[in-house]
Amino acid sequence: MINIKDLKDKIKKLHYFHYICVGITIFFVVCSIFVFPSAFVRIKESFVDLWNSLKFYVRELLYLDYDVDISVNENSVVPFTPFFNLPATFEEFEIKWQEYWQIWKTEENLQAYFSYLGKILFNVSRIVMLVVIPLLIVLYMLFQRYLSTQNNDFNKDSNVLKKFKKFSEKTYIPIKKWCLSFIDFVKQNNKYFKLWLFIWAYNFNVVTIIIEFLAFYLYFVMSFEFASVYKQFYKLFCDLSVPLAFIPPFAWFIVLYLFICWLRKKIGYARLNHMENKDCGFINERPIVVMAVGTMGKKKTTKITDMALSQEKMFRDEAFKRMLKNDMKFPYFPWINLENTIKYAMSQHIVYNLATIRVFIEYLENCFYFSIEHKKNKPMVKCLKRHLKKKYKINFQNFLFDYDYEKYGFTYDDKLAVVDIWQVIKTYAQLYFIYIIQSSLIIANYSIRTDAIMSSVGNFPVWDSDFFKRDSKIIDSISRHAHIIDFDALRLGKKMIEDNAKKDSFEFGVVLVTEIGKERKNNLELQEKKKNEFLANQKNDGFNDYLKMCRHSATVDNFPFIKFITDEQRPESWGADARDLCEIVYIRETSDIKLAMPFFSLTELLYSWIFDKFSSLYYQYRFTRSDNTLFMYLYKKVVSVLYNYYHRIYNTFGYCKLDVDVENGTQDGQRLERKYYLMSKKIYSKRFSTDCFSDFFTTKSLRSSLGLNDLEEYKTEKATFEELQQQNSYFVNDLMNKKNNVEKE
Amino acid sequence: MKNLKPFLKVLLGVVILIVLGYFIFTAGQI
Repeated sequence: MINIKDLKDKIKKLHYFHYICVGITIFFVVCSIFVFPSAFVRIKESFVDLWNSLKFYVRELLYLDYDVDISVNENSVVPFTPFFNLPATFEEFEIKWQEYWQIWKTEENLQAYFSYLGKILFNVSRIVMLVVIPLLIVLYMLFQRYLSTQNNDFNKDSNVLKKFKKFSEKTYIPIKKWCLSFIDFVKQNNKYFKLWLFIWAYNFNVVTIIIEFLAFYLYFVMSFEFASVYKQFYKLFCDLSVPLAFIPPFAWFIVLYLFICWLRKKIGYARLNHMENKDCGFINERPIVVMAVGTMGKKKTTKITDMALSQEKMFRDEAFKRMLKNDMKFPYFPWINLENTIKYAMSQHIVYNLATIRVFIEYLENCFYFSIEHKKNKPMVKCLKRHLKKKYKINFQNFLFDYDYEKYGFTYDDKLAVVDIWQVIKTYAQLYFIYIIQSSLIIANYSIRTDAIMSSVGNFPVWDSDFFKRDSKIIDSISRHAHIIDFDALRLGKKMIEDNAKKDSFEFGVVLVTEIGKERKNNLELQEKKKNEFLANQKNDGFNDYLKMCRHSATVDNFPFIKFITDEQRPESWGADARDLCEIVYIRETSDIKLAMPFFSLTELLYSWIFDKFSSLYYQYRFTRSDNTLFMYLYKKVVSVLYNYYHRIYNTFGYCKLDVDVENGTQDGQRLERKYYLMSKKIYSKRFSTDCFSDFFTTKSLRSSLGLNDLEEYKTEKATFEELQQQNSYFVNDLMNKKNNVEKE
Repeated sequence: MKNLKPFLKVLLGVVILIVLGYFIFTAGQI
């Protein structure tokens, strides 16, 4: 029973936006009845057509015998005039078609067209002459007037600006606020928007067109009557004549602009994804250890960060693909039971790396075989079951996750070898572990932000690793950061801290080391170091041995889930023993930022013209005055809208191309020329700090009591002896010593 | 010179629009 009082209370509590939305809906419905009465007739006809075509379809499909009226090929009773006056029959169309080309090639038609264009241009130039040019002249004069008077009224608003601000506070700002909150409300209650969209789709015969298409499809697939296709085009043109006649020409320009915006963004995203796929291909071609080399500012740290982000995504994708491959070996295995068991074991920290997961599965395997061997000893089997339930929350009918192996099989033969279910479970469990780790798979000596999102409703989780469509406002809430590298975990020999708890913690992932040469050094720099020193050093820590063997700890299903990416300014800075293992990627050239989104040239021209003018005028103004005037306030506002739009587009769709050469670490092979793409949205979205070691230099600078301004200057263009001595230079000291020796002699 | 490429692109767009416009204009003449 609906309580009327409750209903009234509910209505009273409704936000007043609901009433506005209902009012808009009623207005649209009234429009449908009085402005678009033909829409109802057409939708009725389309349903009749669909029903008749369906009857025809069934009759022809099942060889039945009953009469059907094929109404889909008949004209509507509504007296439409199709746009372009499309003829009703194909015969008439053929005549008109020939007539069209006759007219098309006549000189008179061309002249008429150019005279029509001339009229349009005349109207445009009239507006320019009457409005735009006088406005520009007034603005120019106004600006000259502003520049002619100097002042030091720091941040003081002019009287006109004060009045304008007051006026806008009472009119523009509240209206804008209200509109934005209403749009927000409609977005949250999207049922209204969907309803409005449906009403206008009905008014403009869009619903009719869809139903008519279905009706014709059902008729055509059973008749293949090509002659009837033209009639459908005619009917389509008739139906489309309603929106074409209703929407005014200027609104069509807005529709066209919105369509171009949508299309260019779609193309832009497709191009970015294509470049990302190319980058993934480049990374996959490389061996486990990669070293990027380039001089300062060549974007080598940016490049290795970008590679690590793609590699992390690829590891998850690879684990996902391989899980499916193993799933298909035993299609009736209840994988969700295994997954839930792993998840529980992970939550209890019983399973926390690949080794523990292998041990865990082997333990369950032993329990299974124990239960088979002691099948008759029911109390013992029950006891084991109780133990598994208590400790691991494993509560299944059998000891194989409820898999009926007697019915569906225990082994699988892929014609290479026969594997049993427990081997596949072990592989699957490791892949699942790699897949569901929610923290970053990157371990680095500098911080990197990752923002892949794992979605789960308690079943199989799905990762969203899109780099290009993340909302910049929410990235802080979804971000994770790279793990802090502990080099002891990468040492097989001596450790810096012998009882380091993390010394055996690393198994798989993306290891990222920037400036590897400064960490590992080369043979020349390590001459003083000895292998038999008590403390760990680059010669006795077994780092290079680890590098040679790292794939063994990270291989699952014959795939190594490890990548070691480094960078340095010159390859020789890293010792040859380790360097020989890797491929060196030389960054030869970095292009300027380009745009992946097409059809942006007009905005680019406008931006360039307006912003160049603005920047020169703005600093002239800033030089002369320091007060705020209405003119500069509005001018800056308008330019800032264009500026922000332009830069947001470039930040979303911008990319730069790196020309790279790839060479073996032994540096005796041929260099391969390759391309690598750095997409702004992916790599510059708070990913890493380019000055990752700046804190060290900050501390150093804070120690100093002098700044650049306090340093002494040369008195003239020629340095004196005293000035040279202030350099504390080896070279100058040598010269001074030589000078003294000469003087003594 | 830095705006030459976008300018040429805009020019090409205008030419394409004029050519397309001629086809539509002729259709309206029948």
